[in-house]
Amino acid sequence: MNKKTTYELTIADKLQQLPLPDMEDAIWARIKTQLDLDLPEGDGGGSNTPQAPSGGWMWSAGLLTFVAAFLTVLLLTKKSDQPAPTDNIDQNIEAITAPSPQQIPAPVQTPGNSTTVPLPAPSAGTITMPSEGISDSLLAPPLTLQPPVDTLPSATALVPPPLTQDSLIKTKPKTRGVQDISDADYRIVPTKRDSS
Amino acid sequence: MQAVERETETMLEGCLANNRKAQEALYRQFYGFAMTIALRYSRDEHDAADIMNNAFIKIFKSIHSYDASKGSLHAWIKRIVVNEGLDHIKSRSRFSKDLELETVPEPPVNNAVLQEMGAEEIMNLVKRLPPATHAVFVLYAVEGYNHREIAEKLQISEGTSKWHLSEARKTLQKQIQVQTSG
Repeated sequence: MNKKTTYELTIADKLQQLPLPDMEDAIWARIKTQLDLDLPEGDGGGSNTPQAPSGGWMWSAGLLTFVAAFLTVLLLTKKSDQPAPTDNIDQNIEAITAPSPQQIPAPVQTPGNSTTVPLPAPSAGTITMPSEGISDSLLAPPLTLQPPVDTLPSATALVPPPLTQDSLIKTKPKTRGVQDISDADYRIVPTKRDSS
Repeated sequence: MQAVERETETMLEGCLANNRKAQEALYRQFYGFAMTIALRYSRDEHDAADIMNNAFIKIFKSIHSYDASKGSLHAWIKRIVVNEGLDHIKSRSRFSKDLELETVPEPPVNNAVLQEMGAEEIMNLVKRLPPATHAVFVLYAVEGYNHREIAEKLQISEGTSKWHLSEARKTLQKQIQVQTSG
């Protein structure tokens, strides 16, 4: 069973003499096309075996380390030279300004001798702040934003959250005093003494 | 002889550097050798061309793994082409692992008839074998592998390899008888 028979030797011998098909160029063209896709010429082919460390490699590693260290020092130096973030805050404050008097709608007089302070319509880039000391005057005080510069961590903290109708309602200023009582009610009118 | 070795060495260095001219030179030098092997595992020339194409792509991609101290370049290329041929046969046939045979009667084959036959006629007889039987017969009778090696290559048992060889011999005997009587 494990020995080759005479006819098998004959077959093996005959199969070595098979005529070769004339496909040498056609097959090479296919191989070349595939190689151009998989292994572009000059990229070192499949020689992905790690090379032993040489003097040149050591020099490259040393140079790379030096460049990395230099860049790190340079970055740190630049960071310390950067101006304080308040510069940016000032720019942002300018951008967030109160609306001009023309933009403020006229006050509305309501029955009951009470006044309401109309609030400017919410728009992008404007901030409404609960202002102290709102009196019964008909004009709303100009809204200005004067953040304490020292306490602000960065300029980005000044970016206001988007305003909604709910937030406007919540920030409606309180009226001072008792409602439905005007200044006229407190006026002291001297009574005339009877001449008699 | 030394000049040929030096030329082969230069060619290999070029292939390692992915030099297209060196790769073409290697391909053309081994075309006949590799194509003869590929034809044994194929049904026609187109099959052989596929085997050649895939085998040489593998050769160029793994040329760095060739170690001259472990064997000749011919042996290394032959192993790759044979494996590619077997993969080709496997792709069109399932190799049954349930067939076992330990002892087999030797069927008589008229060698004189075979001697008169041409290489292509004999190859046509071999091609008519079922794919798995074809692979085992070529590996055993032509390439010179033993049953243990064939079993490893095809991931079958040695008994299955023996069964396929027995089947190949029986079928070839019948076909040769038909040729003789015809």
